Amino acid sequence: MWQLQWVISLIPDSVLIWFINTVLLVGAIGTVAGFFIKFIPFVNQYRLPVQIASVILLVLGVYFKGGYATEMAWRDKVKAAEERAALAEKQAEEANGKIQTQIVEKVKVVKENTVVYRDRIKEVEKQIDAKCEVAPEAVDIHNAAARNVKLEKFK
Amino acid sequence: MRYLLLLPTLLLTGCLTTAPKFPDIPPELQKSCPELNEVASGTKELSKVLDVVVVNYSTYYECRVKVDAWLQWHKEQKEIFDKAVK
Repeated sequence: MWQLQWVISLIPDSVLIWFINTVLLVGAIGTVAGFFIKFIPFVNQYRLPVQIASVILLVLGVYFKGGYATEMAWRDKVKAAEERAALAEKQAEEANGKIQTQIVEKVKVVKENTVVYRDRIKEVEKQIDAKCEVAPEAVDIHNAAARNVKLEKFK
Repeated sequence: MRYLLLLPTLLLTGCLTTAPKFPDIPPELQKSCPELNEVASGTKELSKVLDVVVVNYSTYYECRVKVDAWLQWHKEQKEIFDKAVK
């Protein structure tokens, strides 16, 4: 059933409303005319078929009119959802750009600070090294921690 | 009969949705955190050890910036997505 609705959704609004209004109008005119047709000679022999056909068309027209209103409501919902999706994509892109800029700026600050620290170490290198000699075990522990590997047991 | 083969394609088109496209990750977040530096074996000067430690701290802070950015990215994108599909 939904396939039928989907196929109907492909028909342009103007064509759909034109078809429905035609069916409704023909049905309504035919139904009213059915009451007066008996006064017209020769044609009055077709009164019953005209009345039946007109009532069927009128019922179909009313049914289609209701269906059309529902269809339009769904199309509005789809349109609104598409607009929301497009807005979300735009906002997501903007948020990405903002985050990208923030990362670059923050990393730049970290790198600049690191340069300052390393320069300071060079300035006071002699004072630092004068009073301390690093044991090889300290280097091993540091490197193991940097690589996140298990340390061998102390012998 | 051969035209019937087109029918599934036609019907499957009805499965298209209006959900927003999954956002791309900022390029800076696509890089992994680097390995930490090691002190050259046999180093005895504390200044050289300190230099490596400082560089490693820097690596940590760079990585922290990325993790924070990931958290922010997820929070913001989730808010945007939830608003779009509500």
